[in-house]
Amino acid sequence: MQYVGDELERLALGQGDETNSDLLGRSAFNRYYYASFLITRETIKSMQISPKFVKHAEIPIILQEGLKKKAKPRLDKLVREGLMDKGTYSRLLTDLNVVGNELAELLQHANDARVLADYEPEIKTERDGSLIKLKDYKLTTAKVWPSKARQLCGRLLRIWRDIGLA
Amino acid sequence: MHELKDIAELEELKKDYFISDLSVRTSDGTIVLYIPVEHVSEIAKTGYVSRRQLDNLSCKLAEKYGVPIAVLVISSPKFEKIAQAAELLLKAKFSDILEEANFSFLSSEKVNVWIKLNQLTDDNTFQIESYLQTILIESGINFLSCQWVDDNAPLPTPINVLIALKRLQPVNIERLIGYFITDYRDVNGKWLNRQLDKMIKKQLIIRDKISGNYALTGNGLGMIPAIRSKNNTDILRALELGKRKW
Repeated sequence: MQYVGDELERLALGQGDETNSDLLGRSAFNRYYYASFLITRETIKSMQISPKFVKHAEIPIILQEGLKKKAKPRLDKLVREGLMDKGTYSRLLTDLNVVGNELAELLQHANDARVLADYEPEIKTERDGSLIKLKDYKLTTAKVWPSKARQLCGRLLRIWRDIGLA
Repeated sequence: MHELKDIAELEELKKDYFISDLSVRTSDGTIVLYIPVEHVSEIAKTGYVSRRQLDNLSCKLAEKYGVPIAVLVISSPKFEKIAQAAELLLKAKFSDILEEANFSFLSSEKVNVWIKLNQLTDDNTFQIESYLQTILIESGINFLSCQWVDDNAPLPTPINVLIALKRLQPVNIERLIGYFITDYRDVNGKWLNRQLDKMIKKQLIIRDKISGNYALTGNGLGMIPAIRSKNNTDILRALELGKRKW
């Protein structure tokens, strides 16, 4: 997905025709969103937070609420049994909250850009040299969504491993 | 589908909730509200809107107009400049250890910073975190969370030690160190010995005095959660036992 996004961006930048450049550029936003979405969905699956197939709109809710719901009883048990101190307990809960919210926001922004790209053809992409923009979203920012999502997912998995759930 | 002009209270809402832009998605009718991060606070106060107030607004509008509402907190030039300035100051002060710092503002008071160092030590992280707190508090940012970018965590948690014991038992401390050393950079015999002693006192594990091997007790086994994945500890244990012994 990331590769396809990069190629579409390259083609959009090299395309002289405005209409074709717009079509290629907006498709790149779509691919970058899906790359981030699939990375996150795979992580959520391996964290066993939601057993069913996760839909796009559900992911931010899972990240903002579902993670804490699953981790907190486990953390409480570890503290109760003396296997974790209060400092580590609150650090892990804070990290889970902060990282979950950051990933949720990333996906919400990426999805907003993807919906604009897919369903609002009258809103055209704009070119400023080698910068492609769709409304306020820059393609240079969209390009880092997948790697950022991977980094955030990696941190969530580490927290999951620290509490014995992965 | 609603059009924005149908929503009479919109102009007032824009002012009260610091909404910089809004749109209706033609694909599903969702009303999207865009709010710059500089106006979002952790708790309600004058001149800002809190996350809870935004959640309440979403619920109220969704109920009233029967459409989904999406609230998007967007970056603002002011906070982009704060991030750039903080990164420059960090790079100037810790030029010999700092490789990268990225700032993600979750509200006007809360930031998550991803920091990559070439030497990740407790001393370095403490110094950088303290310095960041000092410079960010000047801009009203009171909640700082640092994520240290590193492939390896410093030390395993006690539950990780129990899980490793379940997989490898009966096992001596040297083999346990060898097991952890690839994933945890600071693991050593002295630290691990102390952890194992604590677990013996809590009756989670036992140590055979003759062989020096450690094994789980029933209590210790009860602490390990059952997860449905390839990392399930029963599966890992079975695979370990199935390894051919030379």
